This record gives sequence, C-alpha cells and structure tokens, in this order.
Amino acid sequence: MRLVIDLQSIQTWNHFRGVGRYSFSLVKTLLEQAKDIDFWILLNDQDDHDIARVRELFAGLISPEKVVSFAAPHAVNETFSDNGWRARAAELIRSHFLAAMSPDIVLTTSLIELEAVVSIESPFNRYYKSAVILYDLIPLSEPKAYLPNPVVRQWYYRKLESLHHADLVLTISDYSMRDAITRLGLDPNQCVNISAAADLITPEGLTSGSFEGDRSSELIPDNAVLYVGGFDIRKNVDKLVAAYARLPLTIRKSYPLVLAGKIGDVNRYRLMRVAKKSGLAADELHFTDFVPDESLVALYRSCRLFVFPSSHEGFGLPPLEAMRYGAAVIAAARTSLIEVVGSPDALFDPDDVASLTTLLDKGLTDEQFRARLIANGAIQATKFSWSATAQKALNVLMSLGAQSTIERRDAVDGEQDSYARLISSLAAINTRSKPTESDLVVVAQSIARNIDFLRNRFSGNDQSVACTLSGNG
Amino acid sequence: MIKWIVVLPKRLGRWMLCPLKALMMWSMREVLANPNMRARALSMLAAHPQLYQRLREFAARSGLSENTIATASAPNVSEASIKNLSPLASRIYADLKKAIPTQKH
Repeated sequence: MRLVIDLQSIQTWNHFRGVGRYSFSLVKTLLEQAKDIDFWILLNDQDDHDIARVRELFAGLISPEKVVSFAAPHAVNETFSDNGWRARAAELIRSHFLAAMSPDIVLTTSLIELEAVVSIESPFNRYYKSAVILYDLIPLSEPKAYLPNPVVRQWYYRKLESLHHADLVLTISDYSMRDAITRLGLDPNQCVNISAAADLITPEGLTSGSFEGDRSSELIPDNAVLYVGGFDIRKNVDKLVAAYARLPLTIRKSYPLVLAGKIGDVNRYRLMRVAKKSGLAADELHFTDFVPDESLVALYRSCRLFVFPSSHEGFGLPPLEAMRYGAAVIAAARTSLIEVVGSPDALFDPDDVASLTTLLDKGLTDEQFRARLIANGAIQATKFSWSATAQKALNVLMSLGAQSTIERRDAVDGEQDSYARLISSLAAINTRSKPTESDLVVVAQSIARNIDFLRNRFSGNDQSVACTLSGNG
Repeated sequence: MIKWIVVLPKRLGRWMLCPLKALMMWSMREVLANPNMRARALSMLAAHPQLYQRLREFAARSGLSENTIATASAPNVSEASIKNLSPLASRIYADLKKAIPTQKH
C-alpha cells in the first residue's frame, strides 16, 4: 500500500506549534510502527531548507528520496484578495502531482493552513482515497473572534466544505469528532477519533531558531500557579488573572502567577489591564514568553498548581503534559478538556470567576486535594500515547487502503490525459482576482518542473502527460 | 500625444495620491513601532474588519509588514525570462495562454 503523507503542516510557521508538533509525532510513530507500508512524504517547494530539514527529522525512518516536493506558485495566502487565483491554481497543480504519484491513500496532516497548498479533491476527480486530520472547529464556534474578516471567513468555509470530499476524517479528540459530525454534518462512518498524546522531546529542527527574543532564561519562581498556552480570548486567561487577584495576599505571595507561552504586545497589554483592574500589582504577573521544552518540563515539575481555563480546545495538550510531569492540574469543564483531565473534581466553570477562585484556593492549600489531583493526573497520562494514536490511525488507514486497491485498477485504466484536464481545470478557475502574465509563466514553470521530476521518479505513471505533450508538439 | 492627454487625468490622480500614501505609510510605521499604540489600534480595528483588511493589504504591499510581504506579493516575471523557459515550460505556457485570459499587472 502506498501512503503519501502531506506534511506541509510542519513547513509553515505552525511547525513549532500544536499542529506541527502533532503531525511530527504522529508521522514519526507511523513510520516506526508500519514498516510494510510504502510511505512517501509530500512537501511544497516554497523553502528549499524545509526539504533537507524534514529529511533530517525522519532520518533512518524513511529514505531521503521518498521525501518529495512539488513545485507550485508562491504567494498563495488567500486572506490577501490578490492571491485567490494563484491559490486555486496551486491546489490543482498539487492534485496533478499527487495523482501521478499513484498513491492508494493521501493523508493530509492539516487542511487549515494559510501558507501551504492543501486541498481535498472531489472523489470524482481522483482514484486514490483521501484522509485528513481535523484538529478543531474553534473559528466556527467563535466567528466574531476568529473570522471577523470576510476574506478569511470565505477561505475558512471553503476549506471546511472540502472536508465532505474526504473518505476519512481523523479527529484528535472525541469532542472534535462529535463537533465535526453535528456542526458540519459529516457522516459518522467517515470520522474516527485517533486522539493525541504528550511528547515534549521535540527535535531541534522543529524548534530551533523560531524565536530570537527567548526570555525563558529569566528567573521563574517555583511553587507557581502555572498557565501554559496561547493568550487569545478563548484561552480565558483574563478570568484566571481576575480569579487569582481574589486570592488572599498571603497565598499570592507564596504562589506567584506564571503565564508561559509566546505572547504578543496586544495580549500582554490586555492582560496587564485586567490585572490592574483586578487590583494586582504589576510585578504579580510573570510572563515567560516562549519557553523551550527543557525549561517547560522544569516549570511543570516545580509548579504548585497547573490551571488551564480555556473555554474551547480541540484536545488540550498543556494539561496532559502537566499531568505527565506530575503537576496537580485543574481545568475548565469545557469541550475536550473533560476527556483529557477526566476527574470532575478537577474541573471548574470557566465563566465563573468565584468558583475558579475557590478551586485555586483549594488546589494551593488543601494537601489532600492536591494529592488526589496528582494521582488523577498520573492515571490520565497513561491513557494517551503516540503508539496508541498511531495504531488507531493505521487500523483505519489500512482498511481504507484495501478498498482503494480494488477500485483503483478500474479507475487507472480510465485515467487519460491528466495534463489536458489540468489545463482545462486551470482555465475554469473562477475567482475575483485574475492571473497575470507572470502568474502563467510561474504556473508553466511549476508544471514543467513537476513533470520532469515525475518522469524521472515515477516513470510510467504519468504516461498520459508525456503523450499529451508530445501530441501537442 | 493623444494618448498622453487621455491618460493625463489618471496620472494626475496618481501624483495627488502620492503624498497621501506616504503620510499613511509614515503613520502606520509609527503605530506599528509602538507596542501600546499598536495594541490599541488593533483592538479598535477588530470592530471594523473591512477597514482592517484594506490596511493589512496596504501594509503588505508597501512592505510594512515583514511577516506577510512574502505571501502577499505576486510574482513579477520579465519578458526575458519568458524567452528563457525550457522547451517543456514554453509549450505549457503556450497552452495556458491559449486557454486562460490574463489581466495586465
């Protein structure tokens, strides 16, 4: 079975964030566990360094020749209105490239990527099976916060619509799966929860050089009330700051509030205002900014209480990481956090500042309660592993692949003139922005580079392209 | 000469916009350089998504935003590079030209 994994998710700026790390860990475990599958990794050619970096990341697990890149136009971020035509053209070129690779299955590790060229083609236009990982539908749940811009909204809805074309949607939590079925109307037979796991041993290539302003080396207090994660509104850190401010001063002095994670000026300014309004002194908020993995482990181990007040998550990696490293964890009783954290005693209503203050107080001062939280964390941490996640993914991919092999033989015989189809599909793109002469030149160069590459690497698979071109000549 | 007269109003309009564009770029650069002003501006713009989108695209086109310039700018290919295309790329380019109407950049 030939399984092509689209790993553009670790090429974009997301590569050091949740999606990139998830994709890396899952693919690494898949490569380790299924030696009999013919794996290929697909990237785009926007950055030459990426290909070498990805080959190095998976060294020993996949041969370097099987990490390939397709050429396509750059400047495909559709949230810039001028890029609409180029983005669609790049998607068609990717589909043409994929078809010539003759896969049984294409697994797309992330569909919602602004800088990458990702799409799920209609089953009528492809013979292979298409699987995709869906992380969450947070923008759909909170459109005011995440989709206020009509151009971004249009792009996001188009991507979600294409999920209906997938043969298999792999979700990272039970909550995400139910959300996809109810909100998007996906067929329950099409969706499988493969869950997630915590793994803080991230290789150099995924983190180094990501940030220049690493302030994690500053002294971070022990016994902290710790939060790790992003700082957008849904993370609900405002409520945590307000609830923390209601704790008695003696407790606050013993257990400082540490907010760890990359933070921009807008969010820092917002949280400083919340702190001031709630009566906290400026030095009572400790921002660490980006924290490398080794320091993060130390933070988890040394904190008094880990708090995760987020109102919406696709999975919720930080609380699982904290539990794995022995922290006492409390979290919001919302979305996937309920299945990750498990115990109802460790959950709180994220909209109720008073109840959060009560649980903070209990978690910091009640030793028996803390011990129960730590014991619960130890049990929960064993429920999630990359090995189990990869095995679940493999089981469903293998059965999908078996269907593909049967249906593919008939389809391949009818697969003629893929080049002519590509040109007519490019001509049929209907976007507000139209291509320029330069766009056509870049598209021609990209297709030519791909055809040359495919002829060399997959000789015989793309004969229709060769025939059509020589016929035209 | 006739062409020069016909396009004169368009050119005059463009000249008049030049100082405005420069003023706009200067203001945006000042705001972006100041964390507090930037934070306030972004929270205000959150209520006006259309305006935010226009400014964002303007910033990207003007090279004010380093993060987005690479993804926002369209390719600019010279006539010389069209002549230097490989035989295969030339043939594909000819097919594309035949099939797709283009716009002037």
